[in-house]
Amino acid sequence: MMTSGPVASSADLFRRLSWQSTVPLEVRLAEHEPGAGSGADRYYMYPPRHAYLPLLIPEIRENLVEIALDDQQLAETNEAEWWFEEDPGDAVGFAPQGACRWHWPLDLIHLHSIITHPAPGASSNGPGPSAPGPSKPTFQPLRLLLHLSNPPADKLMLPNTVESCKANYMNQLREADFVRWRNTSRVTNMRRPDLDAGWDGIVHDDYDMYMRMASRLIPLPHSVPAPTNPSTRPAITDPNGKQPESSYAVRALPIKVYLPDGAPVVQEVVPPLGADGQPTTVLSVLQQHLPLLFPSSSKIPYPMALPIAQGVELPPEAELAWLSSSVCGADGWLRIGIRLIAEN
Amino acid sequence: MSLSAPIPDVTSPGIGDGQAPGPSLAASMVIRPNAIAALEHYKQKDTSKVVVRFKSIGAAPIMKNNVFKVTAGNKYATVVTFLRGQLGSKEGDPLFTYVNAAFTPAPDDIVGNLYKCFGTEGHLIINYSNTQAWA
Repeated sequence: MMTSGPVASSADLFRRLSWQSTVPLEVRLAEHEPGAGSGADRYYMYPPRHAYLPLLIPEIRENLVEIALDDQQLAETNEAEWWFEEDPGDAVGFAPQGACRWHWPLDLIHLHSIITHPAPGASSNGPGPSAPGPSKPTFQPLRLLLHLSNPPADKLMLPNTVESCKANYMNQLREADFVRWRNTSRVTNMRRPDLDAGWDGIVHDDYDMYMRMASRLIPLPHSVPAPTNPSTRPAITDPNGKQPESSYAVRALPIKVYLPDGAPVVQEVVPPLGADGQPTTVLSVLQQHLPLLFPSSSKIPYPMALPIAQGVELPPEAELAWLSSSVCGADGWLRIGIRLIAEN
Repeated sequence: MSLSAPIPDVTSPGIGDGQAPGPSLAASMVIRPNAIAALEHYKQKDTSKVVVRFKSIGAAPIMKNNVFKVTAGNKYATVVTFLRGQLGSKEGDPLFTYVNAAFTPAPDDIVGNLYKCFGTEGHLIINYSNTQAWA
């Protein structure tokens, strides 16, 4: 894929920023677990958004469990039975997400935590929730409780092994690619070392290693010729004369939208360009698929709720093809959470 | 493809379908009523039916009847559990499933979403095998 030029540089900048984005995490031993309530029963860390809980277990073991438990308790504990739950805490909100799934990237677990708690409404002095300008970052740490036994298998659905997590990740890569092209030939035809470098990059938090895979899979947001003028030269070509694949030319974009309070995931066919040839924007897709929360009759883009991705509020005019290329998760999916706005 | 016999229903015991209880907002945080009503609408489970067609890969046993109706709102994990039952596959026996022979959905992916995005000719193709097709 063409890796030079302004489009590639700009996408690379945002891909690096997303890669470097972390989730402030507090892990505390749950009540009734050995070591709970002691002075050493919690641990703070800043794992990357693209990490998975099974990958964090060794660090949490070393810095929390081995310190809070005595030798006898340690000998009796079985890592395979450990599981995390979001700490419901005292904050007002919708029903908490409960047990944290092993195959969810940390970004998604954090996203559910954010949307569980409605956003404070506009004060009389501050900008309204729909005001243009820099996104408001979320500073709330993600608070997880660590349980050491009795994992709820029906909720967790998978074991907490790294192998199981990797297998799910590889399938999410394929599913995203199938959404884009209606086949997975790009994954199937990739050289094995390049494909494995994707997961290994996540394990080692190594962006360049991860990009060995991602640069071959996730298309850059190159502009495509307008459909009304087919004789226009392509916007950019690579040295071989081939048009590089563009996120604006895929069949559909890999996007999932999450609502609070146990509502089912929203996943629709979202083409990069609308019927009018214009790029699909955040607001257009929300108005089309969640019209009760984003009515097109509204004078302001976000009257009742805010779309959040990678921990920040998305501007209504942002183009989904660009977002899906530049700020998607490490498995190629753009995950958007819908956070309701409180009146006060 | 026309089906002469009625398509059997996959009964869903609700495995992994545990939905969170209703909103527990304190009275001090006020959400506009139409936003709450909108969320309640979107929380509803889709009870419409999706036609699923199971196709064996390799040496996996072929099912006498391989077409079933599944509730759209069900999680993918319920479909796999159902398939295990149909094949007489025991817990621990390897069983791999794929949509369009391309990828394995996450266990909490919703069947209706899979059909919307990946369905062909009115049904969702799920391939199954006793051996892993790729690592």
